[in-house]
Amino acid sequence: MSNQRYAISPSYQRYRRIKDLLFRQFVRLAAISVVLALVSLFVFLFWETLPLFRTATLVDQTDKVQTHDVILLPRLEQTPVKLNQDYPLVSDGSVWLHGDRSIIEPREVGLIQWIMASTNTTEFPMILARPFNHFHVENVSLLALPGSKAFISYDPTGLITLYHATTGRVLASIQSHIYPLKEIEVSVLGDLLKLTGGESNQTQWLQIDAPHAEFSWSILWRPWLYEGHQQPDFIWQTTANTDIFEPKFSFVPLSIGTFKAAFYALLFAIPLAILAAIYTACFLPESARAWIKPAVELAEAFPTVVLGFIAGMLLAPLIEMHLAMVLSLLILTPLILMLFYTLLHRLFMHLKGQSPTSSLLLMLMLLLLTLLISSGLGQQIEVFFFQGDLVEWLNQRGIDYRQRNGLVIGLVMGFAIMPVIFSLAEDALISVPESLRQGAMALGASPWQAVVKVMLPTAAAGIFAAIMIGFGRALGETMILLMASGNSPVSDFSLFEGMRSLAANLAIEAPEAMQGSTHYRVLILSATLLFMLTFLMNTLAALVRENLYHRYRRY
Amino acid sequence: MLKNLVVKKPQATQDQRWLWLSGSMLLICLLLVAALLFLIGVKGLSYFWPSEHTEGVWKSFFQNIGFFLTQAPMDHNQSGGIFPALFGTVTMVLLMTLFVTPVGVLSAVYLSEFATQNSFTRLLRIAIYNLAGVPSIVFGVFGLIFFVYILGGSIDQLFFSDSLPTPTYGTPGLIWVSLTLALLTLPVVIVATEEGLSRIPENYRSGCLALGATQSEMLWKVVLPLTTPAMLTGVILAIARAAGEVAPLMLVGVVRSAPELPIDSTFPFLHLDRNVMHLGYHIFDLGMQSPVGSDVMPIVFAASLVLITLVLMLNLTAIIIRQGLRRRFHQYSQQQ
Repeated sequence: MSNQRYAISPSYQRYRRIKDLLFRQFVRLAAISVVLALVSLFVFLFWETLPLFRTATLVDQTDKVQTHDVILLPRLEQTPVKLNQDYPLVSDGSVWLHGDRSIIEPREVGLIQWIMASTNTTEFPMILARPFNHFHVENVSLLALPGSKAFISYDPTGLITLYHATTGRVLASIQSHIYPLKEIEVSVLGDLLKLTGGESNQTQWLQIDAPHAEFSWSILWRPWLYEGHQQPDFIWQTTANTDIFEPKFSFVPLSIGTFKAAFYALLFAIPLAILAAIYTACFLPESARAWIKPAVELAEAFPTVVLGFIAGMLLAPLIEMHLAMVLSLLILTPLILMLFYTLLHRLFMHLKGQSPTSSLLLMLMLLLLTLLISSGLGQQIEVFFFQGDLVEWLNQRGIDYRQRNGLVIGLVMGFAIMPVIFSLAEDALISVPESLRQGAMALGASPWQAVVKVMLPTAAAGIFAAIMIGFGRALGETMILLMASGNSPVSDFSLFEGMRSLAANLAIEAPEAMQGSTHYRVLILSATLLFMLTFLMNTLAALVRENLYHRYRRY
Repeated sequence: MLKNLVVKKPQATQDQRWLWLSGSMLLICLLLVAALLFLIGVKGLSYFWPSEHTEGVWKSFFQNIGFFLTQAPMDHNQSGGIFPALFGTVTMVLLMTLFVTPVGVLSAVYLSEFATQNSFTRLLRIAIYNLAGVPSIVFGVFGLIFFVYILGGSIDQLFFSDSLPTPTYGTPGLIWVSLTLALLTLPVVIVATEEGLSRIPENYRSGCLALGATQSEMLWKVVLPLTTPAMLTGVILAIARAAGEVAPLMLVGVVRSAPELPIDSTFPFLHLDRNVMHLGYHIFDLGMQSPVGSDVMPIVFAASLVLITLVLMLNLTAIIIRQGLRRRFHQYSQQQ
């Protein structure tokens, strides 16, 4: 009885109310902080790439520089040509850039960069790389900066301009108050300029602030000419053994690798997953569906590192040995199956009343037979048409065959994304109201007609969403590509050529990139791009799915 | 008679063909899964099978398995056991569970019980669900730059400034691995919990409120206890995903061989700043980065078998719990 009185006492009620309020606020706080954390996560990721786009500056630091701390680079007497003595084009006043692989030359039309197309200087002459916007070449002097491909130009009027040779950009310019400007020296670290000149030998110090000068948006996406190359190309190469190396950031080979891998994976996964989903959702009884669906979804649980290992170490050598057989298994199996079913349909007709499990068993036997036939056929084709070795035959025709190639990736990553597509497509099909199908069949459609003409169009948006999500998964998949794609950044759509994807590239290079360097920020930029791509795709898929759900909820 | 007439139509023939083709595709999917399981099972188990046929074959077989699970690796990971990798995996996953469970459950409760259901919460929900589809390597990059460099760097400057420039937390380590994994698996927990909450029949809630319970009492005493299996499913799925994940971990603290275990007898017992070994990374490292010519296939298959057994068991548990849950609430909704 005392318990009851306690329960209705005003102080207890107040206690309960306060507890309720506190709990609610706590939950609200927790949820909002989660959302804020997730949003800030990607805002932060984006933020880290912003310094790449900051403009470089030249700042007057005459008052702040401790002049005795600065070690200046000794000004060498610039010989016009150091390596290639008999090279006629290069005139006086031209300057070698850091690494001695390219020359900047002042001409009437402006500044011009010449680069060595190869290390072999006798065979390959220097080629014209790019001009720079600069129109006051009278009396202009040039100075290469140490440690990068940047250089400055200056003239007696005191106009100083900072360029970056590889990107071809004018980074910054400043007008000095010294007139006439005689000479500029640069510190060993390449961050300070000492200007001398004027009647009373004045000095001025300039600080160069250009941390990401070697980056530009167009270098990521356009073919670009680098030292040691003869024509513009898409190149991703960020590290090398030598100090004089210029990093090459092109996202094109990486994007091509990513999309190529995803494309081949989808090519394998879509027919498999969608047809399997149709059969599971529309023709299997509930009892069989209950265990078959989880069994297929089990494939999603395989850690991709294991799949990648099997792809790279087991499947890739196997496919190289039996290429013709694998290709014929992929191409001929469905054809032979169709042929079989066409020929044998009369035999199957009287099996119509049988349970789906036994018809599945029959199908299994036929399938195994077909697999045997098409693999045998593949070997025969190889012997007859390709002199017994398809890989050799391809190589003779100039088609490069790599052991770790698009085919291996397509098969294994296709297997990895198959359960995702299967599961979502099956969900979409099963949520189509049964009445639609029954109506179609009551109007005389055959079961397959009812599925293809009524159920598939109804569930089309859901199936599309399933494919989108599978595609997103394939774009971001890392371990399979890391272990079985060869990781060579080539711009090539060939089935038999390797690739390097954005995700695999991050896994390889992110741990090694120096914090704050251009390489580091470009990698973060690629991660941001990858994130935005998959997030957009998934959001699209989710919206489609949600619409579908709302449309059929009333049935 | 009529039946025959229908069947003999050419349309029915064509039908049957497509029907069988789609059935075959389903069979191919199942066959692929089975073949992969079989391959890893046979190759993995044959690593443990004693080479000479003595009497105690089974005994030495189980001894080999025990040895593999409890011994440290030897000879550059190419022989010996996988104990540190297994231990590291379990430690980081448990630590991740500590982070992700309360946060995930509270967010799910807020989203489905407290928040007003408008287009903003709808978008929010879609965004959270979509995080599950964001490539895990992106989370790895985020973990590296935010957790390791910025958070770890500032912890070092605040608390471990005497040992700088040698970083303590400003370098990849166990805590960052667990936090990255927690971020990665947060949507899994949220989705599963929300699904569980939405399955609780509405009249339970109205019943509680009608009897005078406050909203938090209703949640604590009735709804959340009923949702426990769903939360458990979510956490188990999160653990399964985390145990199989490798790519982001390579960036934030998983290494090829760690000299010490993350838990030992010296203070503070749990060393959050240490590098750890991970089973998945162990497989990657052995399979891809061993010296040319060394035959590592058998031991990698054995390690893969252990990893797959772990992940599949977790997934199966989740599936079984979920099926039971569905059946239970199916009953309730039938009674209504």
